[in-house]
Amino acid sequence: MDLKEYRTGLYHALWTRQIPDRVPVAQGVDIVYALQYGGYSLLRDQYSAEKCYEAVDNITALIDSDVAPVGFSANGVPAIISGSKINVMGKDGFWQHPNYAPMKDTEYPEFINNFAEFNNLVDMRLNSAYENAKDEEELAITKLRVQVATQRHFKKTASIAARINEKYQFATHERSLGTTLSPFDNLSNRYRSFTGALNDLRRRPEEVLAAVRLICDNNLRRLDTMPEPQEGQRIFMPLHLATFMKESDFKKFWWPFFKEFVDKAASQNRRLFIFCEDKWDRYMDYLEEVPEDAHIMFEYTDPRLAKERLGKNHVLSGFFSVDILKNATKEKCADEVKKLLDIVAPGGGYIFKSDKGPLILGDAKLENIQTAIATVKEYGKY
Amino acid sequence: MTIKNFRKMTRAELMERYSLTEEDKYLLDELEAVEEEVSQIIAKEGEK
Repeated sequence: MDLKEYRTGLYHALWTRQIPDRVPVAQGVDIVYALQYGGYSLLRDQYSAEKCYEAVDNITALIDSDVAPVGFSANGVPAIISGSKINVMGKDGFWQHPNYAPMKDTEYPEFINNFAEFNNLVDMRLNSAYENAKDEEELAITKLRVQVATQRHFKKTASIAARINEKYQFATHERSLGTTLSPFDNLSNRYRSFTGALNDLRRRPEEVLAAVRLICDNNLRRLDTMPEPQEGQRIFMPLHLATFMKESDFKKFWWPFFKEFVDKAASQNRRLFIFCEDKWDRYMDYLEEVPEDAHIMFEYTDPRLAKERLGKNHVLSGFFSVDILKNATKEKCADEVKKLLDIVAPGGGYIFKSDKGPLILGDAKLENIQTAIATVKEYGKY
Repeated sequence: MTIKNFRKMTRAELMERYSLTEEDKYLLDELEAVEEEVSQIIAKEGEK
């Protein structure tokens, strides 16, 4: 059996509820980390396909994960062309995401009465080059430039991924079927901002409910247009705001719409990759209602609780604090990996990865990433 | 809509529009490539 076959087999075992040969490893870093580690200029070289490939190749040789370890968080050129107000490059070349609300709290009636038209308006407000276009033709040209730049970015990253997967024989187990936010998170992210959406819950609850209903219906329609899923293909859903809400608000504004989406996805045989950001201990009763066979990644949630309540029906990952990768000695790092595996590995159904991917070089010591992976491969054998 | 008045931006125009310098060479290469692709798409649309 070659390496690719072995690695793919680890994941196949998880998805088919068998116990793999050992705990699979999906530990990675961001392209920013890879460029910084290789001594490249982030500001200049993030736009070069060849420099990015070199940086990815260089760091991949040092991170013995079972899947390609480098992700691409930034998609810079479209944001530059559109003058995005929510993807803004800092002086160091790192992309920032300001807490900007393109929709005012008084604009729910416009949102509700004409969702499509209001979305066009929001697009204009989110992008200064759209706002400043002198006529319809200039706007159309700018949007075409953004579309072409976006396609070029995806072609570039797909080409790098294909070369790296081939060279290092990685499992390609978890191909994306796209990213979708839970409807209330979408209201916050795209329209009202984190603080705005939470304030609106108290001040204009009926309007919030109507708006979230529209977003949910739109997400449900998008499900129908997605391609047929293949094994390992999942819809990625990072969950942002739930843990910042009172349970009564969560139960009314957040959960029902999320549940409607995941139930419909399951009815179409589409699997989910859910990232439960922050700490979900108090919401275990709800998570138990997620349709079976999801991949659920956790950040600060108690691994013992999650394993006990969800481990039989889902594949779990995460839990391992990126702070350990940043601050601990190699010995301490190995000990912490073993402690976690003692809790989450028994019976299978766990993928090792840190609770957040290291974005910049300062987020994790490479030697600790290597130690963690080596420990999983040895101590995580079944 | 049919686009009638598109003209590819030159490298110098791109530098001015996005406040770039020659140090931003890969970004400029990419922006030039976008201009070229957009130009081809619009030309093809015009032929229809």
